[in-house]
Amino acid sequence: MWGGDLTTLKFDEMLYYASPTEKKSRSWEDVPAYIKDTFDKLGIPEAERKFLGGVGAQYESEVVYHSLREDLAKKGIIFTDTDTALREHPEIFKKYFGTVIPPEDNKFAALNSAVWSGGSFIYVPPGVTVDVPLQAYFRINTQNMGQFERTLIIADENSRLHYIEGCTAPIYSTDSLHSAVVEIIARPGAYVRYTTIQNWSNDVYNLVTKRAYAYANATVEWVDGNLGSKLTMKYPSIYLLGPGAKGEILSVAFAGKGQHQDSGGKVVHLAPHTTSRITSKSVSKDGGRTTYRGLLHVAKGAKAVRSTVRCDALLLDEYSRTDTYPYNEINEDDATTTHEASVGKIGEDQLFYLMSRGLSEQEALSMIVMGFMEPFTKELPMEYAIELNRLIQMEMAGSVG
Amino acid sequence: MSELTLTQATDQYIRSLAESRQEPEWLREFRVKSLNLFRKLPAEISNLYTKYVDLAGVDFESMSLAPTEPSKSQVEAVMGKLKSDRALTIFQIESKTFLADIPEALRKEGVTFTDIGTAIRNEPEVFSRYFLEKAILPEEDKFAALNNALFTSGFYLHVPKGIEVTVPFRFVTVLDSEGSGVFAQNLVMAENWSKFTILEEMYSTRLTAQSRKSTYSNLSEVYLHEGAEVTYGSINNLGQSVNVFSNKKSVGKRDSKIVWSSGLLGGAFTRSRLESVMKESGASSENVEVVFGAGTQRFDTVSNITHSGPNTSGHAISKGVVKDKSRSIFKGMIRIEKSAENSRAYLAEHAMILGKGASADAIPGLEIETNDVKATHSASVAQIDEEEIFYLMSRGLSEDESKQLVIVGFFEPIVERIPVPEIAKRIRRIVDLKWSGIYDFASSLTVPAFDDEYYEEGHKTRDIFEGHYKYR
Repeated sequence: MWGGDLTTLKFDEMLYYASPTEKKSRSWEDVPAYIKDTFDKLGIPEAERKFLGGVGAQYESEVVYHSLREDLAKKGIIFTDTDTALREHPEIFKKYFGTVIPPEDNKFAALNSAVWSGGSFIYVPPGVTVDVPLQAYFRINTQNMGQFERTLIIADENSRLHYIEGCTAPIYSTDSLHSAVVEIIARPGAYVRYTTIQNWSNDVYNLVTKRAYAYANATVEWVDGNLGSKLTMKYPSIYLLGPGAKGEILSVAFAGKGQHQDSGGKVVHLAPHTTSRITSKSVSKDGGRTTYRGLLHVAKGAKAVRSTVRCDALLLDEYSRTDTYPYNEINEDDATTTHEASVGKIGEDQLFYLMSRGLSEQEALSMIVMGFMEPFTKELPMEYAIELNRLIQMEMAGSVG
Repeated sequence: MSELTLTQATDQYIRSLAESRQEPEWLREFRVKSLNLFRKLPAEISNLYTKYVDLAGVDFESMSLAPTEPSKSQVEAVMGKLKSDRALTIFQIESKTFLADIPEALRKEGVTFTDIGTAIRNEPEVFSRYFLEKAILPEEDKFAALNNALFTSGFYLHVPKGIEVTVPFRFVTVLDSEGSGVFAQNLVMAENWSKFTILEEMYSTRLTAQSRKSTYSNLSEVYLHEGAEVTYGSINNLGQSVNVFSNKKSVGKRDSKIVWSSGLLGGAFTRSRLESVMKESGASSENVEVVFGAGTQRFDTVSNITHSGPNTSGHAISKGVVKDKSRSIFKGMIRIEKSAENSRAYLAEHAMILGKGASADAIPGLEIETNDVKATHSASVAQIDEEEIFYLMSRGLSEDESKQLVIVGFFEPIVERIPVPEIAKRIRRIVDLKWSGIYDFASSLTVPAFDDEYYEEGHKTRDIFEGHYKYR
């Protein structure tokens, strides 16, 4: 069996579409109180939410809340749910939809392509910079609900964009599936960063296909955090198609009891003078399992490629497990690629030092884990960094017997 | 049996082969079972690597199994060139084995060094037990199964408790006939606190890349009992028309130590699988591998480190240079089982690509099931540094000489880790010759005088390994 265990996944018992129980909301006041509650628990202050550009909340497959700051609309930026985009911008939609990830790509991409609903659609016109991050908030709350959102982001020439997606889900007793497809097209000179923190409840299968095309001198960055779900299989990938394109993947995984985070990243260098970097950090505890699976491919003709891959894994106890499967395929003689990985446990001396400074063992442990993940956290917007650190503290609670 | 190919190898053939070798019944059935496994098994069992299976140039239909008798002149020529003391050296010329002279002193101490067929006939009970739970079972690999079905040569070495032997045991193979097939199976038993070195050498004297394809398969198992230390050096400089299939595995008990040193230089397609299993506390292993491909050579190597016992340590380092249109793929896996607390492991795969049509892939993996360990790996692919070439050329070397020197420098940090001087020197020599496109058997056996002065002790290059590792 390649990848994680999918034997308990039952396609026949899954719900493929659910219409919203709430009406489409227009303003912040109309957002259901318990969604606001979740925002509160994650510590996103009201003021900051308003400051942030558009807040789209995906609620049972259809977007119930979507607002876009007027000044963004004035610049010609389209930020809407994918269903609306299909109706209102059919020409752009048709031109790009399914071009990066065709249904033939893999079983779950095919499933998504058949039954997708919801997701975000973003188009940024040439030369336009989106100066605040665009955000969408996803949530599954129907039992056995498969969510098949489809996100399509097009950054036209020399535009700049940062998109953030975060998700949490309440706990249900039967397994549900989240199988999204995310396509990004970064036209020449464009810059796109896509940040995700995934915190599905521990019974969700999270099987996501994410891929970006980066044309000449474009930059694509995936910042990918995996904390929740029962099994995640997600390998954000970047195809560097034009000279000077740049790709960066920053991936963090945290696997607790009963969890398997099978994540990583893929970079395919198809053009000369392209550069890439993959950084992966994973933490396993209470019998959790993390797997890094990555591909670095340098195609014939991609001259002067530079690439660095680094994976570090931290095991917090003797029951947990970590695997690293990096694939390096180099077909050009002037490529420079390096790969490094390490696995270890928390140093006794580090713990001792922190405890001698007055921290409890638990505080010291969470601090070391947060420090280990810092290269990831520092790339997040402030409120997300706070959210992540709170989640880590919550996860670490009770880890000291 | 002159024109026998693999497709003609039926169960019936295997049975008659076993009979002609006067083998016991259990071995006959083991061979038949292995042949059927070979037919059933996929070329790659691990789904991690299925994508990379490439057996182009390996034609099972026409793969010859025919043992070839060497001519008298051929034997004389080879023996003459090797100019070797026959002591402790088993020669295998084509499929004919010439046994070693064992000094009386060693014989008295109970050292056995003979061919595997003789050994099985002498001690059938010992071998029947060993074949039941051998380290490389036919189930685990298609080509291991093939060897288990067809082996007709190989050596058996048994060194009793506490015996240290300073002179290396040599197993020298010379393969020169076109379209032949040689299947060797080697078994090494190192009893408690024994210590010795094995040199395995494979040469061709006149095969070229254009010759008809031959097959060389070898399967080696090394069992190390408590405190035993074994160094296993190996040089493969077979002709570029020989497909090479190699499976090697060591199983180490408490405080044992295995050192593998391999130079993979010859062959058309080389498929090498090497695994060091550290079964009990304090066992350690080191594997140093040098690969130099030219022309259309292909190398597919696996180097696995398996920690089962606590306090074990494993190292595997592979370095490869691929020239012209040659290709290499390095795979490796550090596996630390739950029971292997306080273990250390390191795996490195570094390659240099020197030709437009050359390619190098690396897949260094980790599977870690307990936390009190330190496991790291690294991989890199790089080209020749232009500045180094410029510097050397400014000192009066030609471009070609400069490149050659840089390659030698690339290999040197690991060649000097090879504890067997004969192997280290010969690898340097063959790399030198191969760079110049010379595949001369005789000169690959001689080591030029400057070598000894140049690579004196204390001349150590800076060891880059493990230096870059920093735990955060």
